[in-house]
Amino acid sequence: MNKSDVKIVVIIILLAGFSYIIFNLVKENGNTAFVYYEDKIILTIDLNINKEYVVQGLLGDVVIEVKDKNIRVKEESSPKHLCSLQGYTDSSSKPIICLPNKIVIKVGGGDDIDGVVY
Amino acid sequence: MKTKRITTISMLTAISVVIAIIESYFTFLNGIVPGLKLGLANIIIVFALYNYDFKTSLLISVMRVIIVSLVRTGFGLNFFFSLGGAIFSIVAMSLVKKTKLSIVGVSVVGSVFHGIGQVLVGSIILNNHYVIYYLPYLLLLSIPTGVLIGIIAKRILSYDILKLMNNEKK
Amino acid sequence: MKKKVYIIVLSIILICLILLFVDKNTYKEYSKDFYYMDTYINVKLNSIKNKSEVDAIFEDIDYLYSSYHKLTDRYTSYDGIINVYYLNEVLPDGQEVIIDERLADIISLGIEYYNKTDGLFNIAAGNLIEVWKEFIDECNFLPDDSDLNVNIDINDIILEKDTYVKNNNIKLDLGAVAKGYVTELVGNYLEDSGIYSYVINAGGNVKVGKAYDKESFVIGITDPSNPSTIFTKVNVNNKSVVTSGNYQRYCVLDNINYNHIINPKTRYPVSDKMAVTVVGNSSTISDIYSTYLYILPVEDGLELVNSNPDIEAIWYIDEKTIVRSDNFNYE
Repeated sequence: MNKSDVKIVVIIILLAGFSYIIFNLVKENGNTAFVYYEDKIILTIDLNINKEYVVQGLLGDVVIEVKDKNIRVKEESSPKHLCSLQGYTDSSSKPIICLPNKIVIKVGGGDDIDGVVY
Repeated sequence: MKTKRITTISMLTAISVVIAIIESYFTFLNGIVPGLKLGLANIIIVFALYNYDFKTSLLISVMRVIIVSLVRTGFGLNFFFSLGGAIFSIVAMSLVKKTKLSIVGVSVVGSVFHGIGQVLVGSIILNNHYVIYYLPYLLLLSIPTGVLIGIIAKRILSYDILKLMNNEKK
Repeated sequence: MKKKVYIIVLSIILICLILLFVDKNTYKEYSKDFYYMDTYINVKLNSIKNKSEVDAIFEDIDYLYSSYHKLTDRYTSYDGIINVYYLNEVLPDGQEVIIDERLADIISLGIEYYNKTDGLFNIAAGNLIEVWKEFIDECNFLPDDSDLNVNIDINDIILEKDTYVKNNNIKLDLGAVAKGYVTELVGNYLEDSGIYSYVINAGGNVKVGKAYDKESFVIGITDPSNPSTIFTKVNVNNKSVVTSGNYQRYCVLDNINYNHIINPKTRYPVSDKMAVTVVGNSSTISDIYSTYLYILPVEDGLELVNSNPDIEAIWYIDEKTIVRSDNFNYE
């Protein structure tokens, strides 16, 4: 490992740090989750309510669970169950991506709403 | 000469396929980034890049992705994901190989572009740019894996396998 | 030499990782969920207090909700607690009992608003609500007039200080006031503890403090025609927003929507509108008014709200007709 190696490692760390900070500046810690199929929003979820939802993915049903303001994929039909392994998320900088099912779950405030009355 | 080339390529491809398949059983990184792999099969690619040329290593890399998909993951979205990562990483490595970077540095660059390639392909396939939020994690993680791969590849290169093979023949 | 470089690189990585996860914000957001009164309650607050201090506050809030939940529960009895269940089902007619002053307070508030609302807001309608609840759950045989001819006369409840007496098997139902009442207490408790920026969402019964990092809190109002979306928003500080609607608990029989809000005068569910949302200063008042305005015809309600500067309201009559009070100006 020589000097230029160290340089490139430092550059990468800086890049990672910068992109992390930028993503965090724009991130929304909302209480709404948006479920996308490809680029279309198919479901909007209020994270204040602990509940389970089922959406249709490319390969079959995707079971989404909301618990204590966090959201995760509980069950899915896909070969490796990668997105249920991913666990819970609560911020837009950590979306849940289910590639085989083409489902993306992203947390956000949408219009930055603090609560919903119903 | 030709036969030897074919044999070597198949041997290296076989090794990288085995590494990739073994690796696919380790899913502990999925908690950080879904579908993330250490990319240890890149050891063989780095080795091939230094011992042979760009074309050979590209061939091994693409064959590896196809075979692994064939026997394990199938030709779903994961296939394009891996292919994107593999091609990006190998092109990037061959470009920086000529600079002052040592084999470790080259391998780090390869790892970084392996991640970038996956994110890009993911964004295109899902038609959804949120995948890009994984970039910082991918960048950071590619440093240890890149360094690890680089060091292992360097070790292997220092044995001068070709010489060993020739000696055996005699 | 080589080793040194590795150590340097590794320590840089380590430092970067630590920096990434260190939280620099002193004003932190805390959130906790509770489940009482048949609903999820979420309390979210911004405070410079540390986690253990806030946890102690959350524990007190939990206690507030749980004790009022027990006191106002009309379906379950709890050891050693004289609650609504006891008053309705166990206490014989004409027998005096000393009740918890917190419960007495809610009951006397209910009686006060019975008089203020000309009997439309009636906490003594337990018998009638029971009949309709059973129908909504089963949703097959519409109750007839004899089923509905149950006692809901609030004068059969006599409360003098903490002494409660009932007659003619009258039954209390505090469902239209309890949630709002406790939520108001919780909001006041937070302010007494020095927390002014908070959002309490008790199953759609929302009370907010003062937003700290922006102009105001934004509260969405659910679209009754499409309850997974909102049809409008309000920007508020130090307000309570409460909706009464026909899309939460209801049953549709022969194309008629029967919902859980019953007009004690007609003894039938209200059907001329889909929802009313009230914005007011107190969660108790907003909760009571959302039920009251839901029962009241729209024109009368509009007149009432327009003459009361403390209350704003929006009526969602149907998809095409939305009525706002004069001071309901958002967007």
